[in-house]
Amino acid sequence: MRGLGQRFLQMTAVLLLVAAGTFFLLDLMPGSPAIAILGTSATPEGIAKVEAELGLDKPNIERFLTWGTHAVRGDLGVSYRDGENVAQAIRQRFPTSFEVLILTQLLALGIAVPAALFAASRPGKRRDRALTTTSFALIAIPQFVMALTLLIIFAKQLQWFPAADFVPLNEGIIRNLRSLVLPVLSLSFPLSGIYFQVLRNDLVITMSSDHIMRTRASGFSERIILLKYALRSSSLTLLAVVGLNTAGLLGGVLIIEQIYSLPGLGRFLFDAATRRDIVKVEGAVLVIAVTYVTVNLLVDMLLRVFDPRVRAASIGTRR
Amino acid sequence: MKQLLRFKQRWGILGLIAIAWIVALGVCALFGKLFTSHLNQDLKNRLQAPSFSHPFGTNNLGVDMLGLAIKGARISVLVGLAATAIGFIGGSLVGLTAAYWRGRTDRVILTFLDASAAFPSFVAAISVVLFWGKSVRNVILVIGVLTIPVIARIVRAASLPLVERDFVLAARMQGSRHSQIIVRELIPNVIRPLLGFAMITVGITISIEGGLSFIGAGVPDNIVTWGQLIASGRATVEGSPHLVLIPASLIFGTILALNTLSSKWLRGRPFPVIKESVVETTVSANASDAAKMISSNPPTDVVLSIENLHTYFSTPFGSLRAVDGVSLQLRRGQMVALVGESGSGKTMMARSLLGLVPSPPRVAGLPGRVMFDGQDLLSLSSEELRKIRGRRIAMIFQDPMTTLNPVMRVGRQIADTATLHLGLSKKEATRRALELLIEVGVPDAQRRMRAWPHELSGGLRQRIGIAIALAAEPEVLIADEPTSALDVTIQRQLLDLLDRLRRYRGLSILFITHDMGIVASRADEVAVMYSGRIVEQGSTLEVFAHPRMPYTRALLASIPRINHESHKKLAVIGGIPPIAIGPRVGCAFAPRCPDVIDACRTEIPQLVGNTHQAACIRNVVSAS
Repeated sequence: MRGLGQRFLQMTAVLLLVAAGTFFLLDLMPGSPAIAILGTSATPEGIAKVEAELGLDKPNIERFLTWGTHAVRGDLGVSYRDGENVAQAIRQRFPTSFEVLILTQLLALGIAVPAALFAASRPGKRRDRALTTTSFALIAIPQFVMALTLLIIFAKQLQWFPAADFVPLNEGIIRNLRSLVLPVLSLSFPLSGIYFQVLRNDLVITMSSDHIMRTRASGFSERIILLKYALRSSSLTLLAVVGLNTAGLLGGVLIIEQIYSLPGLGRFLFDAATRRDIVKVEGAVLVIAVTYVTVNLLVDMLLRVFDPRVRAASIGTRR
Repeated sequence: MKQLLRFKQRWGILGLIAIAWIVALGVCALFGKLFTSHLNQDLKNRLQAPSFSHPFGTNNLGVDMLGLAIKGARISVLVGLAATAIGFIGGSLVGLTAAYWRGRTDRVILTFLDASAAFPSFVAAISVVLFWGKSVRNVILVIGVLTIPVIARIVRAASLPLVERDFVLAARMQGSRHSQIIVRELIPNVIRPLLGFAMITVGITISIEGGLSFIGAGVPDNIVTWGQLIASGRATVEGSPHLVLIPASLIFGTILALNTLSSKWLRGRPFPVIKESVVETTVSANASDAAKMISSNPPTDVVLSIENLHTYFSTPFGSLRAVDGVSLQLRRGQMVALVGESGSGKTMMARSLLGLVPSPPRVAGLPGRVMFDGQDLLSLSSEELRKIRGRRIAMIFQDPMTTLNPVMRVGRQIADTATLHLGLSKKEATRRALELLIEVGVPDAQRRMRAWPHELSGGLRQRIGIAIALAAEPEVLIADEPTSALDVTIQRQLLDLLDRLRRYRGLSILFITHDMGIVASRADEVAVMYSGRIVEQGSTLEVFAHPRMPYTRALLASIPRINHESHKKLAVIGGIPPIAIGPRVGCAFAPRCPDVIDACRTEIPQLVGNTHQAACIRNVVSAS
């Protein structure tokens, strides 16, 4: 499987790029972490001493390599700022963010796929136009607006769902899910609009393709054609787009986490970044990047199952 | 006025609202300062709900929200436009580079793009703005740079297929400079979808700015933007939700307007638009003629009888007469060839028979019947028609590359059709598929069952297409240019196969082609089609020996012949078939006809003759 080997190589390159990029970006920022630790009144000697203790006096390439070799073994280091073990700190945050990621993707797909099938069954007709317009509206609502609105209506006014007290998964799945309903809804509505449009457009193109006409000429019903023949060959772009959203949903939903007080990676990352806690930032970014490449590897393999041409192209047997 | 109407038709009501919104936004952004110089605090009138004097209410300092909203438009729009510009310039450079040079360059760029997608960029944006300091410039730069990879991906995907197209390859062969090819050949071809996407991006960047300001990492506090307004309204959201909802709906409306415009812009209106079924009351010129034909009793061995078939499409320029009164009969075990140039309507005719015309079958209310087994196919419900499609009348198509499902093994495609119509079990269907593969002459059939379409040659793919068509043992086969995409040897083999099927299975074949040469030795009858009508029809022998219509003669003259001296020029018919819109005047072939007389341009010729019919006025003239 030359295709997969190449894929692994690319994954490693991506991880390396992300890790190195973050590291050097933060390192180039003005001000030493030592100042951040000691405060602005620190003496030069004090700073030098702290830097020596933390190994900050060594060249940055050396520091990056040391950090990297530890990271490969699962040791993400200890925060300069508060001495917290970064791997452990992330382990506390990751499940929540991951749960939000999975639930959001599932819900967005759960809304988008049936809607797209329904719309594409009669392209250009009323149902299609109505759903397409709705999807435009969903995309147009900024995420934080959606979150605030849902919060006001369902948590404050109607009080159907808790406003801002997250219940972790291990304290009961029902309560946990209840506390995630609003954040997940706010995240998946705009996404479902995008997914809908991607799938609907591909479906409409597929449905007017020659091989679908051939299937029609063979006497298959529109329902079977849509579900069995068109959906599969139309879902490639959608799958790719779903994969691309991983990192953003895992570590970029800061606003949602803030509005609903979720202890997720976004806030962790934001706090660490604003406090110049390089070790924490680096650790969180790495974990997010690893999840991203893993999810996209899965997507890639799924694409290969779905479309033999992808397989052929990557192995190089295409004529 | 007419232009105004067309404008409305082009953009629709929603589009016009969107245009109005964008224009209003532009005015506010450019000239907003003129109305908002007097914005003052008025602590007595804090947090007022929308009222007559303050249509949008007032904020926590008593400032008029309408004024603030207008003021905020300026920076919000500026951020949206500037960040989009940065993203597009950077993204296009990166994307075009990747697509144009491909290979290693592409792989390296893709890795970088992947890395940027693996990175939670929103958090990165926040941190960078906080480090550099909150300012409009920094916000624009950060959002712009973050947009680059997204745009680069899209530009790359849009230009990749173009790079392999002939016109780009040709430019490369001629040794044009790379920059020239990119600027002259690539960019003009990707610019339209990209501009559409740019509109959407402006909306998205405005919303990102809102998010940044909301989190406290946007523009400085003394600058008003919509995001800023939402952020400052958040504290009092429960008592005065309008402080959040108004700027939020402004962002929402702007994105919606831009998206709507973008989708209308991208859709364009290519000609011809095939509209949904519109009732047409056109009466065909030879309706009386058709009535005669319908009333005459068809002989018993006629399997399929097409009687005065019409297929019109309504276009903005009038009805397009794709099929304009065609009558044709197919007998058991017979092969009838329908010959004509591309655009003559022969494919549309074949598809009309089984209701496979794109969007609803045919413009309603036109005369015509397609009699098969005592029923009119045109009057059947789609459910009833489905039971005939594939089961009793099957089709094979021109391009087996595109008509086989690319993501299904070929054995399964054959078996599925057998299962559908014959109710076979999975095992039986597979067995049947294998038998069919052997029957249509696919070598190594057992192994080929599991092949994907792209793994097979054109000839083999067409054999698969035939196997699928035969899966449910149909009585009639409609073959739409099945050999035109193949080379001559393969063509001959496939024709032999069809010939065999006809003899041994008693299959009736309607063979559609543009090539007079390949029908000569195989078809029992020939019908020549031109501009939606049959212009000559008769037994192959007679038509070939005594063509009566100049068009048929021209088609015959264009067949290369072995006994011609080599290097003799092949006859070519000058001109192109007319577009059949508007009332029919005279003979459609008259403009290209070498033997044209004045009467040809005014009189519509009818098919005359008994077994050998032709529609040419000159025949009538010379006969009388």
